[in-house]
Amino acid sequence: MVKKARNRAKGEVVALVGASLLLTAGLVAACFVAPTEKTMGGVQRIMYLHVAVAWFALMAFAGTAAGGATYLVRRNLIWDAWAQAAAELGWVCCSLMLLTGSLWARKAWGTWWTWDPRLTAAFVLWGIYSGYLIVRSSVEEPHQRARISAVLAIVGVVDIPLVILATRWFRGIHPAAPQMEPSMRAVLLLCVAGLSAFLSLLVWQRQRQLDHERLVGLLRARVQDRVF
Amino acid sequence: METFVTAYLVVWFSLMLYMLRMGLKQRELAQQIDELLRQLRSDRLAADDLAEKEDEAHARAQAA
Repeated sequence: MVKKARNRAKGEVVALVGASLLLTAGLVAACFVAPTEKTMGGVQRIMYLHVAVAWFALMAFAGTAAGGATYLVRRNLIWDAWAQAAAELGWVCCSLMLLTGSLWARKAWGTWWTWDPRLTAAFVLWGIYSGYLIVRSSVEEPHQRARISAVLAIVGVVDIPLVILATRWFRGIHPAAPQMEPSMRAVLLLCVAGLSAFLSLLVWQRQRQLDHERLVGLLRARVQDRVF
Repeated sequence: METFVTAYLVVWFSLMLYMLRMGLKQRELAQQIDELLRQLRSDRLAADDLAEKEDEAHARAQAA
């Protein structure tokens, strides 16, 4: 039992170190290896961060909906913990996507914000999952909270295809998957892989923490009811 | 380039803040779990003690 726990802890440290190295390699490559884009110059390097956080935000929100749907089928709170952990990290990444996008837009388009279809769809997505987290914090009963938030997450996930396809369906100024040099593509893939690996580990850790919170609740109930 | 550095710092600080919040929460949870387990253990000992005394009293009453 102790050996198993020790092996698991060792595995976690190895995974965390590996993900951190991958992420560091991606960010170093984005700074020093990727070629400078001709028209925008150095500011275009924001893309390596912007696309990586955007990708993870979309994956995390899809994971939130999947966790919610699984809870609705199995009624096991562990799936709700997964959904909450993914939603929190997804919300952080979605906020970072809007922030880094805004910084880039100021230099590239001369404005901090414009109601471009993709930007609007991304903002709506951020609003939906902000609401999701607010609703979660306002409902006390765990199963009721899990039920309501699962429905919200499933409704919210409908916006993800809209964010992805907005540049194809509607006319706007946000570029749709532009052509790039192979070295740029390789660095972008490294950044996406590094950030996704690192943040996935954080989601896993957060889910375990939420499970510990549930354990504290159960222990407290036992102490109050004097059940030994 | 300074815009890229700003974006990089924004991402870095946000993730660090999130991890700091997680770390603080984890420490608080570990303390709560320790405290609750200690309380459960001492309550159980007190209950065992009480049951033992009741048994002794019962045995004495029967002997009398």
